[in-house]
Amino acid sequence: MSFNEELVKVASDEWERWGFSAAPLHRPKAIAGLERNQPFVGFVHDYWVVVNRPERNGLTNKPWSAAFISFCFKAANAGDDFPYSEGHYGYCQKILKGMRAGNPKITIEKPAGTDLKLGDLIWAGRSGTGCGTPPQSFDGALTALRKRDGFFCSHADIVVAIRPGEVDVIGGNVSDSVTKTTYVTNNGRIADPRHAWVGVIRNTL
Amino acid sequence: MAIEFVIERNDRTYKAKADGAAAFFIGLSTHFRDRSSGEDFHGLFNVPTNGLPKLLYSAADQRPAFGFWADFIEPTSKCEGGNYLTLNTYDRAKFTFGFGQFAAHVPDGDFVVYFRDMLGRPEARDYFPDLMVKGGRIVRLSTTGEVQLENANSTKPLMNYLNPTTTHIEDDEVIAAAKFIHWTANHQAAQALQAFHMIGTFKDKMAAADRNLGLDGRAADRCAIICDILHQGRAKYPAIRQALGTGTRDALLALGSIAYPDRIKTLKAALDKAGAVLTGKHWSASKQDFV
Repeated sequence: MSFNEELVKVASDEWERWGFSAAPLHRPKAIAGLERNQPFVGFVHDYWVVVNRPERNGLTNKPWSAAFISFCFKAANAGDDFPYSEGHYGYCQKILKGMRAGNPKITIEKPAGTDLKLGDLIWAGRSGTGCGTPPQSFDGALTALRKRDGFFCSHADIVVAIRPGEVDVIGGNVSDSVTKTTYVTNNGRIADPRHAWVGVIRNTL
Repeated sequence: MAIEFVIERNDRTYKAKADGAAAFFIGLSTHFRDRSSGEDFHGLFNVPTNGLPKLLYSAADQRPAFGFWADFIEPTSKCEGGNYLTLNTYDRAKFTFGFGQFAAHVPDGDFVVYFRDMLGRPEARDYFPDLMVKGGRIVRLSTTGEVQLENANSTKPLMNYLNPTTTHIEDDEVIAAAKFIHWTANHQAAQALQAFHMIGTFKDKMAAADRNLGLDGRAADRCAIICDILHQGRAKYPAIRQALGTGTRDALLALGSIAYPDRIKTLKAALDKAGAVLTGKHWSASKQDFV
């Protein structure tokens, strides 16, 4: 099994563990496990442990989507090849640093020019309390990553299924659960207008 | 950082400036008396007027992202005026926006789900810094805490936030309208979101119509007429079933043609223009899609 197949399996297994929460296209969300309820409080703790935050769990008022991504990479045996972080900005900053150092096992690609593959992460800026206005483009995101004070709030999900015109992704802290969301694609590239897509994170692990 | 909007009023015409830039048109004031209830309604509208930029829905613009469904909604978009910036704040819905006339009074309805997604976009805080989506619902942040503006049973707080009363035109109402217009005019993704939700609405209508009428194998032009009838509410399923049974397109177009001749004329012209784009696709009940 390739690394990306393993990554998709890990994400899918977690999705099952949370009860198959789903946000289908043009249909109401169906959310099963919630972060504030047992045993899901503990599942979120599992994710935080990977990013050295063992004091946190599902009751902690901190976004845990990057911890979920880190957990999935760890469980898929990425070893030291993934820059585990409690924030998407944090691991993306390290990925960019690795790209500059000529070590592109993991890269950040332009969403408008990248055909999605299983195991990719699709990355979008988001608003929220204390977030300010995040960049809305790949170039804007990279500029922000290069700055010391360029932090912005964001979110990323793992691509687990691709169909004509649609992609399924699994992410943590989506509607307070681990949720499979369906997004619109255009010729295999992310095109859903609900978010400002700033990057596709691709690995060749 | 939140954009500052300043209202300019000249007689019935309302405009706004965003961060001191050139004023842009919002709408004209209007009022009417509901004969059945005797209530007076005051508010804004902007279609049809001369002041609104022609930011029109085009299937060609949205087809790359949404495929055939972008074509399927186009006839109705033309019937509704087709302008992404369409506004109406003078009826019971209190706030209606977009080429699909998404109305704020329906719980979990088209406006609510569209606005939730708008608030999920990163530029949302430039326009509505006091609103966010929490637990799947729109909430307002205030100094005293969070107030949920909509739930499965009511959108009254959301309607009141956007338009406090229908008896007067308030600054809050004008500013909310200005925000939606400026946001949509300046962000292509906001326009695409309208198309996305109009398509979602029409997918729901097709699913419901299929359950009620059995549309498997029917050509998309007939289905587009049925969806337009349901969207406007000018006929019910028994009448549609009877018209469908005749096998002619004209029988479907005849439904409501006395009361709404202009709409039917626009719809027919749009269907004729679309031609084989619509007649060449057929509804598949098993796939719940056109093939």
